[in-house]
Order: sequence, then C-alpha cells, then structure tokens
Amino acid sequence: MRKIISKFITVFLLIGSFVVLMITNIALPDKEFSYSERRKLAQIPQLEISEIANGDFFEDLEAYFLDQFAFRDFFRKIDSFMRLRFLQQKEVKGIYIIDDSLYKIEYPLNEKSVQNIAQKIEQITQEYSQKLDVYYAVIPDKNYFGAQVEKHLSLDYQKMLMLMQEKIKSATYIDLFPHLKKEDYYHSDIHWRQDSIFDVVNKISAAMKTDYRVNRDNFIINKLSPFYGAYYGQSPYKIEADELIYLTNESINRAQVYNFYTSQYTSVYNEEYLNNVDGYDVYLEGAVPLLTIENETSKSEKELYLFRDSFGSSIAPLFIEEYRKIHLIDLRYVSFENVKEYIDFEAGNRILFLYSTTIINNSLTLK
Amino acid sequence: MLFSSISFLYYFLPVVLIVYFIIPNRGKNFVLLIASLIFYFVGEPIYSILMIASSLLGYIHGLLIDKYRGTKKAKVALISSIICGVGILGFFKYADFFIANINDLFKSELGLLHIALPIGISFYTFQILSYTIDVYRGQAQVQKSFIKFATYVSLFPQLIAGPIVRYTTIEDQLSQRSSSWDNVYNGSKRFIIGLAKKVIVANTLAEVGVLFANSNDKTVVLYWLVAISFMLQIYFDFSGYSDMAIGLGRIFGFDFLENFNYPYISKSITEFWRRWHISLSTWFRDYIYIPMGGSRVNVLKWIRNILLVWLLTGFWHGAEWNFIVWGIYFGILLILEKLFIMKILKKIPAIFHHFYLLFLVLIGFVIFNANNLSTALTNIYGLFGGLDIPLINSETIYYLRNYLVIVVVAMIASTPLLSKIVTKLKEKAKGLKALQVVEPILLSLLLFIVTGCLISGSFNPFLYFRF
Repeated sequence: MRKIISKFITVFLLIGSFVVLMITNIALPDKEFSYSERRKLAQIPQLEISEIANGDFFEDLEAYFLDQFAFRDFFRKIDSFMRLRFLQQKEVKGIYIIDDSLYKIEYPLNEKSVQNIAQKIEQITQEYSQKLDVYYAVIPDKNYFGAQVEKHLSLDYQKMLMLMQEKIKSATYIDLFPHLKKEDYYHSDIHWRQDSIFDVVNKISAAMKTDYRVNRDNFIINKLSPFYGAYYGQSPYKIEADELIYLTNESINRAQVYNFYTSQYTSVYNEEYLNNVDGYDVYLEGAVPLLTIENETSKSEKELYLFRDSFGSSIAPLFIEEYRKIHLIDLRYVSFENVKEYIDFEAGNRILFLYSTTIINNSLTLK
Repeated sequence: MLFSSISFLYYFLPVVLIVYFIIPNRGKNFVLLIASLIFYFVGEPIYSILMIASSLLGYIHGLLIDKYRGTKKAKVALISSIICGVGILGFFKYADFFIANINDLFKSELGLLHIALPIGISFYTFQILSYTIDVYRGQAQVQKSFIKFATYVSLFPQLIAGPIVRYTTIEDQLSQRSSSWDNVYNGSKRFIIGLAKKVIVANTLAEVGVLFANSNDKTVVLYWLVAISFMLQIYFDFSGYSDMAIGLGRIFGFDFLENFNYPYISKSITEFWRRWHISLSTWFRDYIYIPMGGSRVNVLKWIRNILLVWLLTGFWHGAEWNFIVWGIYFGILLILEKLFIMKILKKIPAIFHHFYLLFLVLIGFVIFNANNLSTALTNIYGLFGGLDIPLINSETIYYLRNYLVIVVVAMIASTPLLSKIVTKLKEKAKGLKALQVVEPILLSLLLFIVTGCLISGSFNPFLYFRF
C-alpha cells in the first residue's frame, strides 16, 4: 500500500507540476518589464507564415515562454543556489559578491578590441592634435578591485594599457587607476558614484594643466532611491538597493543640455529616469549619441570634447563650471564622421577620451 | 522542439498527456502521430515534409516487398528502399562534404549546396531501413496501416536523437499496448532523471568547453579538464536524452531497448561498444557487419569488415573527416584488441584495464569534439605538453575550482554506484520505506532545479541533434 501511495505521489508531483505550471503560465497575465532584472520581457510573437517557415517564430515563442514563466525569479534563485551551494562555484554567470557589493568578471582580455579602440582614438587624435590638446584615460571596471580581494579572474590591465600606449602616440595618457577604489562604485551597479570621483576630476584637470579643482563642499548632494543597478537583476545575491547620488550647484542648475537626437534642450539631471531600465539614465539622459552641455554664465570660453561611455554621463557635470561648452560624444551610437556634421572641432580647446575597461574590451561595435 | 525546453515541458507535454490518456485506445496512435508531427514541425518546419515523404517511401516499399515476397521484385523493392534511404541521407547530410573534397582533390570549383541538415534524419532513416530489411528477411510483419507506420517513424520520444528503435521492438505495441499506472510512474521517473542528466550535468560541463574556446592562456591541465569534461558531457547529454526517450516511451506504453549501460566502467574497447549507443552498434552489426560475413571469414576479410563498419559508424556521426578518423580509430583498436591487446590485458591487474579504456576513449572524444583534424591534433598535442604552453596557471586553477564538483559528481554518476545503493536500500525494509518517502521529494526537487537552470538560460541543444 505504501508503495502504491509513494508511486501515486511521485506521478502526481511530476506530471502534476507540468500541468499546474502550464495552467498557471496561461492564467497569469504577461508582464512587460522585469523590475528585478531591469529589462523588458519578451512578448508573444506575431504569427506570420514566413516566421514559422524559417523557425524564428518558435524560437521567439520559447523566449516568450522563458521570460513570462510563472515564479521566474524564484526559479532563477534555485539555479543560483545550486551553483553556489551545491557546485561550489565562485560566481554565477560572472557575478560575485564582496561585502554586500556586487562585481562582474570581465575576462579575458580581447586584444583585437583594445587595438580597435586605440586605433580609433589615434585616428581622431591625429586629425586634431595640431590644434587641440588631446588626452585619454581609462576607468578600471569594478572587477579590477574585486578580483584582487578574492582571486577572481580579471583582465590583464597592464597589457591592455600597454597595447593602447603602443597605438596611441598623439594623445597624453592620464592614469586614473590610483585614484579609484572599490568603494567608489555603487554596490548594485557597474558605475562609479558621482560623489566619489572628485579625486578623478582633479587628476584629469591637473593632467590637462588647468587650476580647476573640486571637492565635496562645492556641491549639494541629492539622493534618489531605490536605485537598482545593472548587476542587481543579474545577481543571485540579495542585497540592499543603492541610493543614487547626484550633485548640483549653481552652474549645474543653470546649465542646459542640447540633445542632437531630439533637437531639444533638457536639464543635466532627470529624476524620472531613475525608473528606466537603467537608473543611471538620471545623468544626462543616459545613452545618447551626441549632447552639448552649455554653461552660458561661465567666465571661461573653453570647450571640451568628451568621447565617453556611460561613466562620462556622471563625471561631465562636475566639469561644467570649468567649461562654457562640453560636447559629449558616444561612439557606440554615432560615427565620428557623423559627429563632425554637428560639432565644430575647430572651436574648442581639449579632447578627452574617457572609456571604461569594459567598453575597451568590447569595442568592436563602436561606430 | 527540445525535451529540455519550456515549450516542451510546460506546454506540449502536459497537453499531449492529457489528450492521450483521455482518448479511447483506438485513437491513441493518431494522437501520437499528430503530436509527433507538431513536435518535429516546431524544430524543422520545412523538413517535416521530408520526414513524411521518407515515411511514405518506407511504407510503400514495405508493402511492395511483402506483395512480391519470394520473387526478384521483392529484392528490387528492397534495393530501391535502400537507395532511397541512403540517397536522401547522402544528399542532405553529405553532399557538401563530397563536393568540398572533390574540389580539394581535383582543384575544381563546384559550388557548395549549403543544405541545412534535417534534424534526426540519420535516426529515422536507419529506422525505416531496419523496417524494410526486416520485412524482406521475414523478421517483421508488413505494416498495412500508414498511421501506425508513420507513428513508428515519427514517434516524438525517439524521433530526433534516438535511440534507433527497430520496428520489431515495438511492432506489437503499435497495435496493442497498455497504459498502466506502473508505466506512467516508471516512465516519468526515468524522464526526470534523464532531464536532470542533460540539463544539470551535461549543460554545466559544456560551459568548460566554452571557457576553453575563449581562453587566451591555455595550459596542459586545461586541455585535460576540457577533454575529461567533454567525455562526461557527451555521456550525460546522450544517455540523458536516451533516458528521456525511454521514459516517455514507457509513459505511452512502449518498451524501447536500453541505449547505454554505464560504458565508462568497461575494461576494453570491445566492451565499451557493447555499452555505448547500443542501438547504433547493434544496427551496424545486424545490417552491415554480419551480412558481410562478420568474423566468420578469414582474418583479412574480417579486418576489412571491421574497418568498413567503423568507417561508416564514424561517417554516420557527421560529414567531417574527424568523424571518419574517429570511427577508424575505434575500428583499429577493436582489431588490435582481438589480435594482441586482450592477451596482454589478461596478464595485468583489472584496475589498469579501466585506465586503458578511459584513456583511449578520452583520446577518441578529443578527435570527435574537434571541428577538423588539424584542431584534433592540436588538442592531442595540448594534452601531452606538445604545445608551448605552461602546465597550469591561475586561470586554469580558477576553472578547476569552479567545475571540480560537477566533474566529480559526473564521474560518480557515470558508474552504477548510485544504482547499487538504491538496490541495496530496497532489499531492506527500512531502506525501502526511506526511499518511498525520499524518491518523490528528490525527483520533484530535480524537476525544480532543471526548470531553474532552463529559466536562467543555461541552455544547450543536444549534441546528438547534428547526427
């Protein structure tokens, strides 16, 4: 009798799980967005003969089923638990934790990518180095610090810098590595905190031979919460959400930002963007190909051309007081040839290429 | 459609199970046929027509062989069936291989056809051939119902990655089979175990290969880690799929034969091939090797027979030279074993037999896993320090640390140890009671972990799909 009951329970649990979860999946309404993963979820694909014939429809359907699966977050945690506790792996899909802060492994070094971005920098530099002072700086990813603590895999940073220095002959290198530490980055995100990079701003200013210096007293600290960073949703670990910090002062408040894509002026910060897929969009609208920050009240006539990634969005406001105009160019979304149609490179003073090691190691999609 | 997909597990399978068990017995084959066609259509929309056409050809040839039994026309029908089967397989699987080699050999510039390989074509073609040959030999009754024959060929549990189910194995069950509680219990248990072997073990081991491919700092130890991981991965991948196929078959009342029997505990290559992909090796034995005379011929002819069968076995796995070399490699080892090695092995302790077997199989799978012969040779050099690389570095240590547990778990699970423990427990009343409580919990847990792995995107198609 016990044997029969055991068999019944086994079949009930297994076949029952398939049936019950199928009914639950059908019954639950579809979600458009996953707040825990900070991303849009796949929606039911449109039924088209051509898509069915080439198999794309069924691939999209599987993606939809995966994204809309009932209790998705719970099942993701089961997978993470198995990897960390049972398989004793040191990270889950590259994400690991030290002191309630999340890190992501960037590895191995992609030499072609490093050479690619270095070549782009050198090409642009050669075009303007006679008229402008050109600098480049590299922002270490968080894993640079985390890997040293727990012996995770990390990029060969020395080799990366060496490869860049071999290619870039016409621009001056600014070493930011000694001016950052792991506490300068958000716990749940890839990015640095705006209130932790005064030292970086001062280092860049000094390297550019200007007297401009900043410290905490020059700014009002504003906080937004909760800020769920890019690693938060990918992480198997439960951590507290961050507070997103943005710094203001009179110059920043007065500055206007011209977005060449929308042809509209906006402000330096937009609090509403905290709820975007990437909350870091609060700074300068996030991923925008071409922006100019205009500080009409500036005593200076200087202009800075900042070739940047998302790290540049949070550091640029700290330079507003020093420049009348800061042009932010994101080569991930616009080619340099197109930029020249909108920006006059003859009018400015300095070019700064400021890229994180993550972009340098994955630069092959740069325009 | 893959067994290890959400579409299959949480949509297709429950619907098919509900409909299958609700419908009266006379409609069950039709339900399975429709379900199988949908299953195949999802993975291969266009090539579904090819599968149906192949089934139709097999069905008609079977009828013709039966109609003209005892006459030359029956033989003509059989030859026609073989030409059609081998021709279709040859065209869709091997055309570009032959064109590329002709171009290389004669410096010609024939254009490649770039034909996508229809999923499962090697499996269902061999099943159809086994049917027509068995009907010709009088070992199987001709199937007069196309629904039943098409159900046999397209039966979704074994359609795309085997095992190669002979028509004679399920001939009776196609007409009459019972749906018992025991079958559903045993089948679902077997299915979940196979699913866990594939998704938890094989997919995790597959990650090592990806890391290796992306590594700029390979070491000798990393070459070994990848080789061992792949050897375990392919076993858990393929035997997991076979478990799922056998389990699903059991749920629907079919008894498929076993396809694996702990091959890595073998003590010789000869024994290994009695335990690995049994349905394929017995197919080649019964339809190629024995008709050529098998071992009942002189030594030279026997060597020819072995080499030809193993060349074909290798070629069956893929249209690449490394598969051919892999097949011939095992053919040569089997010949050497029979002529010399077995005599030597008998004189040394049994433990060394295992090392001998595991080492040679590992080298075999290094050849198998490479994209081409040149890569295979590089990977073998890498194992023995033939490349200018260090023995170990921090990257390799990191990977070892991350994958050591799964490798050890896979090693233990590839032996009958767990099965023996369960058998021992069942022999004792207390053990049996404990098992009855633990089993449903453990199996449910496995299903939840598998679902978690799939949801998290740790997802790899079956290795044997390409065959």
